[in-house]
Amino acid sequence: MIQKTIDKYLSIKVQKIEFDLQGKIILSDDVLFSTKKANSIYEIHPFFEIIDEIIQEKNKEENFKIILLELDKKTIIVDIIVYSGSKKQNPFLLIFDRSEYYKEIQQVTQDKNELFISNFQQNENNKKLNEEKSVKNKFLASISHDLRTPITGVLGLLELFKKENLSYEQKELLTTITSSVTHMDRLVGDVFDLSKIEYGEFKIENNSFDLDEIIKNIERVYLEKFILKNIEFEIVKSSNVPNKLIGDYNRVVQIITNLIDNAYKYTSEGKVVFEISTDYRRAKKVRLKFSIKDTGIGFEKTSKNQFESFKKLHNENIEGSGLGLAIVIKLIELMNGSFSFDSKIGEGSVFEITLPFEANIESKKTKTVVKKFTKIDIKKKFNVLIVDDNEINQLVLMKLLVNHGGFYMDIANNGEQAIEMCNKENYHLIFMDLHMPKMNGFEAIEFITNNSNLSTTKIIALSAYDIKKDKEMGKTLKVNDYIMKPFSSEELFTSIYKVLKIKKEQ
Amino acid sequence: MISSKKVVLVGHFGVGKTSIIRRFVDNIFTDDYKVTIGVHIFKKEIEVKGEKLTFVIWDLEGKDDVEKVRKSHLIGTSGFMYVIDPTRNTTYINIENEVGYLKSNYPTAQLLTIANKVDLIEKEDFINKINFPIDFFTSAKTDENVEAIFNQLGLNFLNNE
Repeated sequence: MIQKTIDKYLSIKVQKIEFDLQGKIILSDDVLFSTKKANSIYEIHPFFEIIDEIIQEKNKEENFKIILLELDKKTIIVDIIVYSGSKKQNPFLLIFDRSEYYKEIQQVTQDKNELFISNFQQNENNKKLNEEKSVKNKFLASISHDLRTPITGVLGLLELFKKENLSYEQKELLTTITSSVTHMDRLVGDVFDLSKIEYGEFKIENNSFDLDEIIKNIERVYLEKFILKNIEFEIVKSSNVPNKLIGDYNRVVQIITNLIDNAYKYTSEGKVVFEISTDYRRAKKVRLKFSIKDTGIGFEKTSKNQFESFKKLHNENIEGSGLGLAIVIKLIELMNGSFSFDSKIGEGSVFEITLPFEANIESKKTKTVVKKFTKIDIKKKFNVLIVDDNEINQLVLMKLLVNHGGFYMDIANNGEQAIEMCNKENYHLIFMDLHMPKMNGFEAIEFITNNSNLSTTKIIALSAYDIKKDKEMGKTLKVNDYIMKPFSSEELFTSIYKVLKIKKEQ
Repeated sequence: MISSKKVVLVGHFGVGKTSIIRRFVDNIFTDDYKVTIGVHIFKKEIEVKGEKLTFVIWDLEGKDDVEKVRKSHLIGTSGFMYVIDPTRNTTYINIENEVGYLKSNYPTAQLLTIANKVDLIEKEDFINKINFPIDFFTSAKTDENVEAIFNQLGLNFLNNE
């Protein structure tokens, strides 16, 4: 039995063909194919033409593996041994039929190669996708900066304009312009946020905050807006909702205001209710439910993806980029929250979200202190250098400082010019834009802070980029404060007072 | 005495060696990739400058290193076609060494470098990228330059006889 199995396993059909130096067949057992019609070995199959080369030299043996031969209308895969002959022995061929074995090999190789090619393509696609993402990311960051610079300028000039003696019509027009530019600023911010979220640069922070403070701010911002639109606006907070929380205050505000903004935009009569309740609580872990219900125009529920970027729910002429809800959903995902909605055309919509927090039970009850800005009259004059490549930004900063009073001003268009001017003049304070041509703010700051003659000069860095990123990049820079563009006059002077140590009693 | 010319197509697997031959010999193309193991041999007669030439074309199993090809399979080779796939950089990353090896070990054989699947790439971008002379850009799929490479090889044979 064992021998039979071995014999069966080893049994390979072998054809023997003997031929002369002209290739004429002398003998063949035709085990695999017939040679009767062929005058010479070369007529059987083009493979055998190689024999002409081999038999030029006596006593030579060549092995050929895995040769596919199509003969007698059938295909066989064979190994071939060619002997070139000697004085006593004619040249001969031994053809071993290994079709079964090689067919299996073929299948395995096929699978292996296909997998290899498909993995390669997958990797290439991923590489391409990542490159595209990175290009898009850079493009969005740069476009956001480029858009923010003129917006800052326009907003600053508008603020200055408000202080002029204007007619009622002019004031109305100014309000419309300001509202449009503010909206544009927000859209740019949305694009920037979304790009950061999509490429994983967005970090959720955890800090202690007061939920009541959020509610108060929302009330302050929206109540008047809703009254003016003749819509009822109600905020309902359940009694068991903890007030002191640990989470990302700014993002919670962003999510809620986006949803309330939406309700405001699409509701022209009736009521908008913002409700906060506890969805789940165990020890410190708490999940809060925020629901925003309106009696607006509503929309047709189609798919889960209907809030993807740039997809607007309505074709109505209502301003918006279609990014608001996309950002909200992505933020909720990042914060491990949940999102659901329901809507009926003509009846209204309800958006419900849940977000996890930690209840800050240890924190003591403290009175929220709202910092109020008060202008200080400066008696002493300060020498100030404004370094910015954008003329509008230079003008805005200059006008704000002139209107405030107490500053002598010089202007430099880039870092190189700033350094030259610092060598000629003593400045108490430099406003340094970080992103400029020729020599940027980072390089200029490094030069100035390393110069012992300029050790008393204070620096406030200005950036339209993500200030956090700039702070990271400039970690080693010794600046006294950072301000992100666009900034309000309050932000500017709060920073100036802090850096120049200007106090009320001065 | 055999008068036909042995032409061997070498290169990595999946670059389209079999497709080029099938297009040249039978004028057929299929998108289905069927791996070649071992050797398939084809024969075709062409006319170059009024002279008839018979090619015995050896389609070898793809190898990532030409030195791994069995020496017996290359006996009597008159012409090589080194085929690459421009969409897969692994198939041409070592082209300089591979072609160098063939030229030094088979100095009398003609050699053409061929970038197949030209229908899938921007040719100019690829030329700048590879920085190695490619004799022909072919597409077995669209039949671009397939006959031209065999004609060129035929011309080279005639010119070097």
